[in-house]
Amino acid sequence: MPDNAPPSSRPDMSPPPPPVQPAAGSTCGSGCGCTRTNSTLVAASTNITPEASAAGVVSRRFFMKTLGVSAAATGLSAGADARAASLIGEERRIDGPPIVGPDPIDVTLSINGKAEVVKIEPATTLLHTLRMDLNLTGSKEICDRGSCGGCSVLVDGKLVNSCLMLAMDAVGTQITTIEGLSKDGKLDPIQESFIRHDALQCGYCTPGLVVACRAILNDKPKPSLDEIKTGLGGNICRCGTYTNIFNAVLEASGQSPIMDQKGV
Amino acid sequence: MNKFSMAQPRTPAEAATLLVDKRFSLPMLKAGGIDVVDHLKEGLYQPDLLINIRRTRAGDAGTANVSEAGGKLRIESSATLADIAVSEVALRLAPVLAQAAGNAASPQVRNVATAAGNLLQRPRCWYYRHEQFDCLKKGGPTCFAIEGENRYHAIFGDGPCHIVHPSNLAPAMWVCNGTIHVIGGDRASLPIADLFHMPERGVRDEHNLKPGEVVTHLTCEASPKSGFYAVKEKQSFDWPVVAAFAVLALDGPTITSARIAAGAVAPIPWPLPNVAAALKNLSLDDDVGLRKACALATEGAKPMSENGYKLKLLPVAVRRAVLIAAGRKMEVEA
Amino acid sequence: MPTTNRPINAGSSMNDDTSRLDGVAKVTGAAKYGRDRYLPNALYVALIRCPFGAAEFEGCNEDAAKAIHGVVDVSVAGKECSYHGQSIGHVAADSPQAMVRGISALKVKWKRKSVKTRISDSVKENPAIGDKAKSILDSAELTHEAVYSTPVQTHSSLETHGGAIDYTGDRATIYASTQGTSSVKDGLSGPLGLSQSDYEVVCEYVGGGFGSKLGGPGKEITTAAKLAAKYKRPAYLFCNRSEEHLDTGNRPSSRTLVRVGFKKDGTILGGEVRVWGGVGIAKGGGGANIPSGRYQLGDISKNSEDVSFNAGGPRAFRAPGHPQAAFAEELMLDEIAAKAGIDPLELRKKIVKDKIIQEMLELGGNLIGWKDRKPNGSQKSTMRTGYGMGVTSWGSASPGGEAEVVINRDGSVESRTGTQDIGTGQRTTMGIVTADAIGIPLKMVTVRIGRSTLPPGPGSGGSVTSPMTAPTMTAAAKDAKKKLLNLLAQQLTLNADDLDIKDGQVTKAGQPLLSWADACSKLPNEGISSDGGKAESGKGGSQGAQFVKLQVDTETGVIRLNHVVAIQSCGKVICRKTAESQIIGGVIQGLSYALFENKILDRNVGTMVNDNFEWYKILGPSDMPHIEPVLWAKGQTGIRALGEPPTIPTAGATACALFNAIGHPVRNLPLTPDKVLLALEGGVA
Repeated sequence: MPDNAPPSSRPDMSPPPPPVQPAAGSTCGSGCGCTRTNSTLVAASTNITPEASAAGVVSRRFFMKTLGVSAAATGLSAGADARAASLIGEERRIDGPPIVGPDPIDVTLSINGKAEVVKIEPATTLLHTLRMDLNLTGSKEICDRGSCGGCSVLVDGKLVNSCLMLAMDAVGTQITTIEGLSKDGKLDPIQESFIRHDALQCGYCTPGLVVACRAILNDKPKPSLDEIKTGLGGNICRCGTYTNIFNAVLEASGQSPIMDQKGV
Repeated sequence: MNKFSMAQPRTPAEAATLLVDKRFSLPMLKAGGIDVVDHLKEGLYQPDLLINIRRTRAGDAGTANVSEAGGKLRIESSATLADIAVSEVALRLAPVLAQAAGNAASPQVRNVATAAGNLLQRPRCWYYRHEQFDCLKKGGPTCFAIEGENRYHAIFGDGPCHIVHPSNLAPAMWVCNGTIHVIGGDRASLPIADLFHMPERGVRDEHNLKPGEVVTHLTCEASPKSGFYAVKEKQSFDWPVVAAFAVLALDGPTITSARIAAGAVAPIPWPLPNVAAALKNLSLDDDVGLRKACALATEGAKPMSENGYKLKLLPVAVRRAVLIAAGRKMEVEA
Repeated sequence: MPTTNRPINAGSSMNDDTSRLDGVAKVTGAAKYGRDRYLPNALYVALIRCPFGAAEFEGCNEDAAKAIHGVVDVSVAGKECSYHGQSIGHVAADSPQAMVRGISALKVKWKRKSVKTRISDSVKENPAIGDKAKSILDSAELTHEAVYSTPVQTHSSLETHGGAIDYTGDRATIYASTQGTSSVKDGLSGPLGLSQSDYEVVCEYVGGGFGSKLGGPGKEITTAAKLAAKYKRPAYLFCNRSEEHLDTGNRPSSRTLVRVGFKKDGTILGGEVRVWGGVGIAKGGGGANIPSGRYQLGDISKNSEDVSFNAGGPRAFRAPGHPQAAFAEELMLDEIAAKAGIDPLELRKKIVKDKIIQEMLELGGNLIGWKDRKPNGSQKSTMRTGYGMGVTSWGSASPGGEAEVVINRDGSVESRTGTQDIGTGQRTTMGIVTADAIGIPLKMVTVRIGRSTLPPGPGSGGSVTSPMTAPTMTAAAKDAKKKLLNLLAQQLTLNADDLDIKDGQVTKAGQPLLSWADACSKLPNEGISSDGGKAESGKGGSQGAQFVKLQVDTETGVIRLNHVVAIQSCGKVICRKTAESQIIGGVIQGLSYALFENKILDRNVGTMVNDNFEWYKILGPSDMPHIEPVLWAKGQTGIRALGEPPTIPTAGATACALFNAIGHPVRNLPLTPDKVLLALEGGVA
């Protein structure tokens, strides 16, 4: 259940004011003369018609141009500047930056090299979208507050807690989940090493830890034990697998696992 | 999380405009989102507009997130803690900042959390973070920490709120004479010393930015002899219980001047001018003298019922930060 | 493939080199847990919880909650609540977001009431010493009196409590997060409105339990079941992290007063022990196993009492009653040794009852480097090194549960039992004993576990799973093998007694006769199945000894764990890798208990202020020492307990190591820097 506030109930406090709703018949405030209220500012369809353009909706070409993306872009370009080519169906104002929501809109995300179209509201985390819209349940919801690393994914190669990342922020990035680490049934060396060293027990923390280990190895091909410990500092395992995880990372990087004593 | 719209400003100026956009009753900036999303999930914030400045940059495309500009260190507001921690420029010009950034939180958080977001994050006080406590900071009548569980709360200040400011970057910026650059108001910048206020001057927020002001970038003086030391209960992801930040000017082993500050001990980054004054002209080899100077760190402290132990830790952290700033080895690992 | 970094454990098990059978599923994220089951058209359900330790319900806005788009069912039975997390109803919705928004819209009003939040709210002073103990102490050369305390520890299973119920009106599948697949089945007939033959409980993977997920469906799965039945659609209810800390049980806190008399040579004459268990709103369940019976402690009278306060009650947590008791007992022994001027390892050797543990002490002392231990408090450096130790034991269990082995005509073999694998490696051990009993390679065996439609097995608790299921499965496999050989003997007109199976070959008088494939091709269409055979009872318990080496930064009080040696016997080890992992895991939980964990309740309002993983601190990778698990295989027979014993002595050993390093005891878990600093000044922590 992503996005939960703890289900305690608010005591008697003045509630924050509700979002401003222009009165029926009044303009939306953008100066375009339309009579849409806040909640209808999201275009109903993905096609921006000439009529919609004339009514004050910025054309798709203008929008993408101002965001530095070519009109032909499909929303899958890598690189830090590629973004809202994948934002389709949203409303834009002539005189301001693009605003989407609060209702769900279609966006395209690049997950494990594949373009996935999902219909999501801005108030959605990447973790929630992965698990519920894309059936990618490998990334786990454990603490939902970025404290335990169980939801770890790679965003443009960087290790990130997907529970604290709004799904909209994933637009224009390359997301790698645990499911994307093995290709065509062939395990990533770190996955093989995890199995060999029994670096797992119940397995619930395992996807987050495997992704974190992969991030360490991408950054440091032969990490020291201290570098491994620091790199995993954002992950928690309750069953207690860390010892074998360290050995798995050492071996996957071509180093020797820690040798225990022979006995006396 | 409540339902909200999300805007994608292309520049900090656009973000500033959206912050005062009257069509929304509660527009809010979101950079990395580490702190904002936490608030949304706890029901503490219910904005109707999030202004997404996660990748918004003030500098031109040719300027790196962390760079040297006119002899100073320049940091984009959206530079991540990871950017700062590994930046060759930061490590050279202001190691205290790089160390403080690199020690914060976890790898996952550091890859996302931004410099400005780190400065402006709200406190971790567990009464503040639980919506069922109508505490002073949320407009209620009470500070629950005073009579309650205050082991991680402030040892300085007269209240009425006893949070500790949670930022690692803020005290580091302070010892480096940092400047916060802003747009959207009637000023271009403010010194870091003016960014925060004590609770007696206002308890509903911690910083002094005016409505509509947006941080564009940070600058600070080159402070190559600088260091950071934090005491944490857990060495994995955990908040410091005390942290110390030091910038030194050295003549051989003699400290000619110093700037010292503490974190996790007060509602604002806590300057320690008394310690800095006492360190002047001391030799780094004068262990007794150093300890005596650092002991002044707790002057004026007002510990609460459960956090007196911080008084023992603070002088130790200060002394170790000084030694790290000087590049000295310590008997303990940092 | 072998891993060779633990030479001390080479040859210690039935199968040294097999990796866990579900490794691929888990490392790829393919393994589906109950919490991963998002079913089409599901209702998402959450319980409405009291946010304070004690409060009167004063009303809420049900209409506002129902008006939230997507909310389907709101039920509030407002009442006076007596702990943070106590449930007063539920909200069910079409999506998790609507569910959360529905709860938020309720705006429940509460009137806070006064609370008790800890043992010391009720226990203010030590009772007078009993007469018998007094006479022992009066005549003893030396005495020791101390109070040892431990906090409430939450299980913190990473997968929270709950279930996803796939309900179709006349059938249901319950994807449960549980330690007792059979017990969940047993409890749901009423709530589902279905007969037990019309639903199946599935628990093929579960993300931890540690004792908290035993004993039936619990309120989470039951609530979901009722709503599934009411609306005739799937239902999903899983706790979030806060709820998991608040209302799914815990290890109770403890206050242990010891008064013992002893001789200068370390002989302990006796005295008394008084234990208070902090059980939240429960009325019992706080017991601590001290004296543990592992040491000669003379004539000790014992008195225990449970203390209630405003918090969720306890549930069995990995060796219930033992870690808190072992902390007190081991630290007490180190303090006694210090007063008598005896090395604490020598004292243990003198008074420990079990001969096997005696041998373990010798080995462990060598492996940790006990000879380098300095006298208590003798170091002057900033970083000081300390050594400590503790012992453990656990009882035995008889074979039980049911198992079935099927040999198919194509040569594939199924090993079937309903018991779940909570991370212990149950799946793997079932495969190993089956393959071993028949005489075929493990890769020919498919293990099916974790379904209520399979032969029912025990709950994963009490460390009974392997002692119960391994002999039962072995018996079924042996019986299936016997049936196969009898059939072959009949067909080939041979004497069945001459036939055997080895490495996947049928042999006659030791010589290869038929390949496994050929042999199985002679089976009837339906293959062979067996669920019978007499399971051999393993006799005897398990033993262990642990040694901890750490360093203390005496300026900050921060402890850096350095090295742990954990020796553990468990009868015949089935799978080396999974057995080592059980030991390492138990040690890590014990270290985390020693240094960090503490359920903190606000003393005035009763709210758990650290109901998350930010402030409820669990040991992470950067806190780790090097841990060496040592499997004690010498002379061991039968399948014995393993899950719990390795977590018992660790906190005690850690506290002893701290005492050695700084010369002052910290008698209060967790061993946080503030307490260490206080102890260094001679204060009592």
